[in-house]
Amino acid sequence: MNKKKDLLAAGLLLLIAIALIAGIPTIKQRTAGIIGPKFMPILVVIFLLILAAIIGIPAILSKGEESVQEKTPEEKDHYTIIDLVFDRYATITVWVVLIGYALLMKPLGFIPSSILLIFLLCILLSPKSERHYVRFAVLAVFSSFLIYFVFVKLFLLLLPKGIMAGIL
Amino acid sequence: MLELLSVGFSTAFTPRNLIVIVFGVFVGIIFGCIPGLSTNGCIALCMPITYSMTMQQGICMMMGIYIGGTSGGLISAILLNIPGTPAAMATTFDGHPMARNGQAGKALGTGVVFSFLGGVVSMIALMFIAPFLASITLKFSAVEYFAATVFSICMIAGLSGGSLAKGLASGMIGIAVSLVGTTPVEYLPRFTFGYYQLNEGFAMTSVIIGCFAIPEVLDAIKNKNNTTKADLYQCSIKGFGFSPGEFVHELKNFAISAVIGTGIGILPGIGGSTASPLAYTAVKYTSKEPEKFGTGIMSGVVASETANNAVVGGALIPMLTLGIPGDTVTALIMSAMTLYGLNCGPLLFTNTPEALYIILAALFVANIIMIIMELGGIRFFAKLLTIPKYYLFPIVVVLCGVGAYCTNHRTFDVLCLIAFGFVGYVMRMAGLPFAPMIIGYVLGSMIETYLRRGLMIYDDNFLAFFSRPIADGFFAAALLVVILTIVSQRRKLSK
Repeated sequence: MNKKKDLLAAGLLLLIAIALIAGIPTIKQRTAGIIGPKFMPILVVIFLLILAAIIGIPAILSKGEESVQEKTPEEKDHYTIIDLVFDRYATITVWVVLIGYALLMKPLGFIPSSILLIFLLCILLSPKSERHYVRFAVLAVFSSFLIYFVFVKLFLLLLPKGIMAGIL
Repeated sequence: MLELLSVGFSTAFTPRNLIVIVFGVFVGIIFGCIPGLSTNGCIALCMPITYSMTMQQGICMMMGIYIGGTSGGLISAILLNIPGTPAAMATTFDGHPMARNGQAGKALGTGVVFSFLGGVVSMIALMFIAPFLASITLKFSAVEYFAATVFSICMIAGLSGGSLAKGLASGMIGIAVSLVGTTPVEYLPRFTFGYYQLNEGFAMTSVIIGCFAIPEVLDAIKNKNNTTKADLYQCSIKGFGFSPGEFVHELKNFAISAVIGTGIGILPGIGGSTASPLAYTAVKYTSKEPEKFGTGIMSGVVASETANNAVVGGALIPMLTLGIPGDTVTALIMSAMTLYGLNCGPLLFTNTPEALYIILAALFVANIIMIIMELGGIRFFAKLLTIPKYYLFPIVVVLCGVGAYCTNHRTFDVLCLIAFGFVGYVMRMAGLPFAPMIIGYVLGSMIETYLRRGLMIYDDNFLAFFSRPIADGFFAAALLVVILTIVSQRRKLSK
């Protein structure tokens, strides 16, 4: 049994159950009987709480495996900003980059925001020794334009033009 | 039947539909052969492309991706010893040793040809079993449908992960997500929290792509410094890679594996990832030389590849006849079909019978294209395996964004995609399997609708559900799955 995983699973189930409980009073009930639009959410909340208990309680009661802190191969005293942003805290950076992409897609446009996203993800995904910034930039520009034209011109879908509205 | 079949084939063979199938198979093979990319993700990504297509073109594309994605996994399984899809896991047992022994071409040829044949057998099964089952399911009421959906979720929850509780928890998360939007009976907004964008619920592409693709990217970031590279074996195929005598010798193994694959496909929840090791084991124990399995023999590849492609037709049977998807891929195909007004279930066979035959024909044509493409373009697909993930994944993420945005043309869905990416990431860290969540999400509104309709029929008396023999059969089967899973987990723990 992996204590940490089980506790996380139980926590997630509890969180969803709480969100549903918070939303249940806002549901309008038009039918008189118990079987209305609130019935299924209540049933789901009950199951979520039971499953959270089944997964979480044994994890709380068990001594569990001692979590072994994995040491990174190269612990350094000083980090540059690039080290911190793209390596040490890469998992946090990636969320910031993804949320930024979603928020910038409309005002900036699909192509500029995608160029930024691809370039930054290339850096985040590549090991330090294999970072070729020029190649990443070329790939970002080329693939963003290609994706835009394939989807807009070939598949006739709409993508935000943003600041490039006058050019495209 | 013959008339409808000819309609299906004449549709599949029109130039535009052929191009769409070729594109689907090509993209499917790419997503299937590159470890980390999946057929599910490919279908979800390509769903927005189908919005601008006709119903026939949409079906052709989905079937092309399904066939390409299912068979594509064998390329990396044989050449890299890393299965491109979970269904190709058993192909590594003998496929990679064959490559190590200098028989990469023979292993690939065997895999491709028997993938094709497995697919054809399952299509024939689909053609004859689906209309027969549909005539039975036409008599089903809401109670039987409710029981069948409960059985499906129990089956998927029990078999997709290590723990039954976690499988059920994942399914329940999917049902919870499906509750957001408009209620199925009264059509009232529920859990929208004032956001009009949620009136129709979360966009399917955002939920599925988010849960599948974003956690893969995070995994790749975590493991980016793990630079140990697997050896990629060079390959070239002459003809099919094997002699006619060897082909005849493998026919018995092929027959066993095709039956297992199709049978497993029909059961909800257990797809190619179960069928191929099961067929491999069955072929091994019926062989006169079981000790040779694992050393690089043709029979191992035949068993695995026949079974995982025979699953395709089988998995479409419950989707088409009951409207209950057998796995994540069929769940996505079912959703895409809904966009064209094709509601899966027995009425599909009476209202739009041509749809089934277009599916059959598209599957057959896709299989032929798959065999040509994989045999002819094997060097190209092998080359793709050498492209580093840091070039591929950023483009896949942008395609995910396009997929989410194009569903409703709003960035709200892109934000939902990222939110579900986070949910998927937490689920992965917590050891919760994805498949039950997706099936729970797809079946959530169906379960609610059937349960409430059933309760209306019986004046809110749930116990009356057990007075119907077919529903009892499904409930008993669900209970059996739960008991068997608990017993097998206890055994594993005691060991």
